[in-house]
Amino acid sequence: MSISKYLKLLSKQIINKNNIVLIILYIALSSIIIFCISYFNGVNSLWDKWLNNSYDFDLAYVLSDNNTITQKELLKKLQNNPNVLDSFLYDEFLGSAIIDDFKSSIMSGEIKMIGTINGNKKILYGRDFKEDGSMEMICPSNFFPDPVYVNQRYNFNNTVGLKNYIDKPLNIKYLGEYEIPMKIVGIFDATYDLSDPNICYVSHLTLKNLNNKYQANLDYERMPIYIQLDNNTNINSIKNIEGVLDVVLVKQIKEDTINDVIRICGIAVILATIMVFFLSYFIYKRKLINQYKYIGLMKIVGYDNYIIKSLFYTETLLISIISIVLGYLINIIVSSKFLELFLYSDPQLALMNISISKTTVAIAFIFVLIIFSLAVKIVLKNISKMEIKDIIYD
Amino acid sequence: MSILKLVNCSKSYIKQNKVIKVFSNLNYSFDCGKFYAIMGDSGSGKSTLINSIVGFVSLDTGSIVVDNILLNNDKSAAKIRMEKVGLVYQNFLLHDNMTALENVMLPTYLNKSFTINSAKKQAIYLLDSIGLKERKNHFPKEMSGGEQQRVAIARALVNNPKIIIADEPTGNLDKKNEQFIFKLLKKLSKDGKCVIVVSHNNAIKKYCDVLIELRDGKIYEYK
Ligand SMILES: Nc1ncnc2c1ncn2[C@@H]1O[C@H](COP(=O)(O)OP(=O)(O)OP(=O)(O)O)[C@@H](O)[C@H]1O
Ligand SMILES: [Mg+2]
Repeated sequence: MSISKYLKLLSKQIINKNNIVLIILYIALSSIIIFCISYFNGVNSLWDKWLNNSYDFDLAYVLSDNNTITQKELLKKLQNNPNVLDSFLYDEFLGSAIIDDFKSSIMSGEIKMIGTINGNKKILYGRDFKEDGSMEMICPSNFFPDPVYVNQRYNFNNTVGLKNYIDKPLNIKYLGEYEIPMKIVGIFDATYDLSDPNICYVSHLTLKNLNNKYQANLDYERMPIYIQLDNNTNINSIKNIEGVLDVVLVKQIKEDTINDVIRICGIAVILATIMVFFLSYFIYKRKLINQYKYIGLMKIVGYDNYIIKSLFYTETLLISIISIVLGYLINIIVSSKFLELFLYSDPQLALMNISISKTTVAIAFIFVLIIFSLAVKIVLKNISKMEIKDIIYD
Repeated sequence: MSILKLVNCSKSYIKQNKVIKVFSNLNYSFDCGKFYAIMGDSGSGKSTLINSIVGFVSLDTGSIVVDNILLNNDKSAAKIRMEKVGLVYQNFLLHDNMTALENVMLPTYLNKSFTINSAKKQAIYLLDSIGLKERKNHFPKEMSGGEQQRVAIARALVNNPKIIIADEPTGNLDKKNEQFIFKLLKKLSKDGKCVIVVSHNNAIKKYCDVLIELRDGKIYEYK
């Protein structure tokens, strides 16, 4: 049969009130499946990346027994441990400042400054800071100068135009009080970074100078030593060092939330799959009964089972494609809101930027298609078994 | 000239362990250009016989040859229904979502010798010949029973088959429409087609060339 004739027949088959209900159902189900598969796929493939790129997840402080080991001795031991990339005292580790240039109705301008060694970050614009004590820092590409950035307040698109501030003098007050000549010299890539977006990095020496000048009253000798691990799972090798009482990660990963979402998504995929299967099955079965007469009359004029079945298959294929495309579009609009709902409890996880990749769409597409056609295939077995006489003499 | 041959055809149904013998060892040959009326009591096997000719009922034994095609599987049955036999049934069996024209065109999609345009021309020509040209864009629901049956006959004719088989074509129609349909079928047989009509209606005797009666599983020929 020629294609134009086939299409003509197909259009008669598809344009049908019953199909509208079917398409709406399929759209809903396929968008659930696409969302859940993309979440699975997105989280699974990006999770390691996030952990590797999020600097503060590998930070820990070491609590020691001052009677058995001095701070100096411990520092030496830690520096010799292969899992420790960097170790430093509190005055070399943390500071904070307020940048007046960035103050707005949604941003307080407050940033955290973390002391580190250079070369840790992939620089997108500008350069890394120098380690000679000059007043330089690098800030994240998702920069948002405020400690509270949860949901409605944090907006990825609400940038401050950080590029324009590279190497420019800033109105910056250390600890909110003391004006300092700090400059932003570079912007680092924070695409896969769950560290707070108001963290900027400076050299240990710079931070030490600032803290000794403005926070000299603090007793740094009695504070714990900070370390940067190569991987936070190696924390136990530090715990075993003599004189160490405990090692505590600065930032705990909220894996529970992630796992909950994955679990919910898993269940949703399974339920949606079962629903798609049985709905397709029952809807097509009903359709087949409604169309018994039409199948019968097609047989009467000489159509064989092969063409009749292929019409049904093509119909399913087209309806599936329409539903998946629409489901995908709906998904783009709805999924970020949906994720926000899940991740509301944890601002850190709100930073996760789960995009729907082409592979994901392809996987979901093939998945949905297989399920649709499986159900139809089972139903269509009945066409060959159909008693034509029942139709002719209803 | 013989166009349709039944050779040693037997059919029985088994229902609840009881064997219902419909017919056995039927031998018959149908010719072109003749109008055959098949009559017989209800349950005598008329529908079973004509449905076995087009493969809707499978025979226990025997063979059926339609215009040199041996009916032996689903494919040959579909081919016979498409090329050789136009079928008409009591309940018209038109597609409700298609207009009269589209219904008549339906069989032509299978026919390589028709393009959509030439099929349309042929369908309009046939609708015209049965007086329904003005109704070509009407759906079955918008037509009377007699008109629907005429559309069904046009559909049976559109691929130009040599055989027309009708099972109680006038069963749902009044006297006037009945006469019209019988006359139409008669004319088709005069034009060279082999027309086989099952009917309870004695009026058919006026029109037919050969009267066949099915009784006790056997064929009796009159006229
Ligand atoms: N699928 C079936 N299963 C069992 N018995 C059947 C089946 N189809 C038909 N029969 C039986 O076969 C016999 C012949 O039936 P058929 O329909 O051919 O009769 P008919 O001559 O067309 O009758 P009518 O004039 O009422 O249409 C009947 O006794 C009927 O009960
Ligand atoms: Mg009958």
